Amino acid sequence: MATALTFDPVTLPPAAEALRSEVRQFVAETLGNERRRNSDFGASHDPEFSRALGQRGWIGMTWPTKYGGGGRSFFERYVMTEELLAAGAPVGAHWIADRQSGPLLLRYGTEAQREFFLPKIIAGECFFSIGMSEPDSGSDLASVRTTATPVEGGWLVNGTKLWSSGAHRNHYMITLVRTPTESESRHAGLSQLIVDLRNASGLTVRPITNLAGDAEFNEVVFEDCFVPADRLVGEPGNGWEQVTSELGYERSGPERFLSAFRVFVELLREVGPKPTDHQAAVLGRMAAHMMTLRNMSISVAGMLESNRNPVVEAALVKELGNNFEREVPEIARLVAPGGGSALFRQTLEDTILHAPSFTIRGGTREILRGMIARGLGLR
Amino acid sequence: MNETTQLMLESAERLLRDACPKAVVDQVEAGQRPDALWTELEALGLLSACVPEAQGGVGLPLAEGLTLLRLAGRYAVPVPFAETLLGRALAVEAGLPEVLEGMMTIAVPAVQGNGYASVPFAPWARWVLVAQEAPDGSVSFQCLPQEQLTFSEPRKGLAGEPEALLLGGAGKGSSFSSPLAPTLARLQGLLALSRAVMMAGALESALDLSVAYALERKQFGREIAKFQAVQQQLAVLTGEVAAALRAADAGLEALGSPREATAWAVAKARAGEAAGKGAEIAHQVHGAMGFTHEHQLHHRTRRLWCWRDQHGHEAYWQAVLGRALCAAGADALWPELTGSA
Repeated sequence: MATALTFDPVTLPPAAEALRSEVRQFVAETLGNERRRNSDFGASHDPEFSRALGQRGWIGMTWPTKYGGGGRSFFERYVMTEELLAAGAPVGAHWIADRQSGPLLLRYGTEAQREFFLPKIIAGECFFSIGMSEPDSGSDLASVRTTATPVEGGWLVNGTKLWSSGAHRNHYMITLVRTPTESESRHAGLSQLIVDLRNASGLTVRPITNLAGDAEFNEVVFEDCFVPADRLVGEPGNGWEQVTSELGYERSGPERFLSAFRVFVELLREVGPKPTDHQAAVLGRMAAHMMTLRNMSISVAGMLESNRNPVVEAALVKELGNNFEREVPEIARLVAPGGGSALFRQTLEDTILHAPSFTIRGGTREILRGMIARGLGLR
Repeated sequence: MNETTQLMLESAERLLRDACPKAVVDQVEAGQRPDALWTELEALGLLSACVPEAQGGVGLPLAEGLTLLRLAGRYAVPVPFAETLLGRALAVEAGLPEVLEGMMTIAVPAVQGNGYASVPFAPWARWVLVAQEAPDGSVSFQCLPQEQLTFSEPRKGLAGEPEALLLGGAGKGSSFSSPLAPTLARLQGLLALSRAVMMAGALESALDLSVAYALERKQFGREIAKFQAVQQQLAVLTGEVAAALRAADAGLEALGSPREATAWAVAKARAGEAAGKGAEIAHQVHGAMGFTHEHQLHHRTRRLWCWRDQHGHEAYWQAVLGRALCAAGADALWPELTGSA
C-alpha cells in the first residue's frame, strides 16, 4: 500500500490549544471586530501587524531560542497560522520569511547569516521574497538561466526573475541562480543567493499588475548586480536540494485550504439560520472537506515535528486543498439567496478574481499530481 | 491502536488474503452462503472482537474493533461483518449467550423516510437485531431468530449481496437496551461510521489494483502508467483515498468524545464522495478490462456504490452538518469547524 496515504492521527497538544485563544484575543484587540475579507498570504501586506506579531513571539515560533526564536512546536505554529488566516488577518509581509526563508537559513545558512537575519525576521522587521521562476522557467524550475559569476568578493548576477511577490517592498529575495559547474546535469550548478532588494545596484524591480488590478508580484531584472560572497546560502551547486526542501514547507500548511475561507463565512451569514435542504447539504459538504483537510494538514505538521520530510503528503494536502479553495466561490455564487451584503459580494468577487492563482502558486496542480504519481512509483 | 488490535489486523489480513479470494465473493453473488469463510472469521475471533472476554469475546473497545472493518472493504468480505461485530457488542446486554454465535444482521429505522432500512444479508442471518425507537429517541433492541420475522422476497443490492425488507414479526417479547447505542441517532451514526471505514478500505484496494494495472498494461509500446494523463488521474484518486482514510479514522478516533456525531457525519459524507469519484477513476484506468465480471475491481467498486448509500448518503449527512452550522451562525463557523468554541 502506498505510504503517502498514511496520515497519522494527531491530537493538538494543550499548549497549542491554549495558544489558540491567545491568538483570537490578539486578533480581536489588534484588528477589532469588523468583518474582514480573505487573508491572502501573498497580498495582505501590513508591516505594522507583522511587527506586532513579532513582539508576541509569533514569528519564527519553532526556531531555536538562541536566535530569538520561540523554540515551540510545529503544532503551535500550525494553530497560530490557521487562526490568523481564518480571521482574515494581514499576514503577507512576514509570511515567506517565517514559512520558508528562515527555515532555509536554519538548515543551510552560515552561523553569521543566522545571527544577522533571524532576529530581524523574528521581530517582524525583515521581509523576504522568493526568486525562483523566470520568464522561461516556471514549472521546469531546473531550467533557470539567471547566472552568478564569481568575482572578487562575491558574485555578479545577470538575468530575470518573475512572479516574485512583494519584491517591490520586501527587504531580501532568496534567488536561485546558476553558478559555474563541470557537471552536465541540469540539477547541478544551482545556488541560492540572498539579494538585498533595497540596496543593490544593477537591480530593477517592476511590479506586474494581475487580473484583479493589484500589483503584488514583480519582474526583477539583474544587470551585473553585485552580491557579496557571504550572501551565498549553503554550498555552491547545492541549490536544487535546498530549493526542494524549501518547497516542502510551502505546500502543506493551512494557507492551502483557507484562501477562500471568508467566502464560506459570509455565505453562511447570507443563508441564515434556516437553510433549504440543498443549501444545508452544500454548506455541510464544504465543512466535511475543510475538517478533513485540516486534519490532514495537522498530521503533516506532526511529520515536520518528528523531522520527517513529507514531500508527497504535502503535495496531497495542497492538491486537495487548492481544489477545495477553488470550488468555494463557485459554490457560493450558486447557493447564496441572491443579492447579498456588500461584504459578501466583495469577498466573493475578490476570491473569484484570485482563484486562478490558487492552483498555480507554490507548484501547479499538474506538477503536484506528478509528484504524487512519483510517490506511487508510476514514474 | 492497541497491541491486540494490531495483532488481530495482521492475522485477519493474512487470513482474508487466502480465505476470501475472488472465487468466494463470486459464489456469494451466485447465491451461495460462504460458510467456510464464516467459520474462519469466527475461529479468529474477528466477529466477537468487541464482546467482553467474560462472554467469550476478544474484549476490544468499539473504536478498536471497528478498525477491522477496513479489511472488510479491502477484501470485499461478503458477509455481514459490520452487523455481526457491532450487533454482538450490543446484544451482550440481552443476557442470552446463544445470540453471540452465528451470523447476525441489524434491522434499523432508516435515516431518511419511514420504516426500516433494507436489512443486509437478512435471508442468511441466524439472528436479527431489531432496533425500535421510543418517542423520546431512545432505542430498545430485540435479538430474534431470523425465521421468527417476516421479510420481503430477497433481492441483490449493488454489491451483489442478498438483502430484504423487514415486514413484521418484531415487537412481541422482551427487549433490552445497550449503553453503546442508547439513542437511535447513535446507532445510525455507528452504522454510518462502519460504512465509512469499509469504503476507505475498498478505496485503498481500488487504488492498489489501479496502480498495479497501470504498471502492467502496455499500449503504444509502454506501460500506461508512463502517460501523464494516466498519472494525473491516479494522483487524483490517491487524494480521494487519502481523504477518505483520514476522515474515517477521524471518525473512529472521535468515538466517545463530544464531537463524535460531527466526526461520523464528516466521515460518511467525505468517504461517500470519495467512493463515487474513486470508483470512476479506478474504472477509467482499468479500461474495458475492469468492466468485465472476470476482473476483481467490480467487487470493490460495487461495494463502494452500495455502501455510500447505506445509512445515509452524502447529501443526507452533509445536510446534517450544514443545518448545525447554520444554527450556530456565521461567526461560530470557525470555532465549530475546529471544535474550539
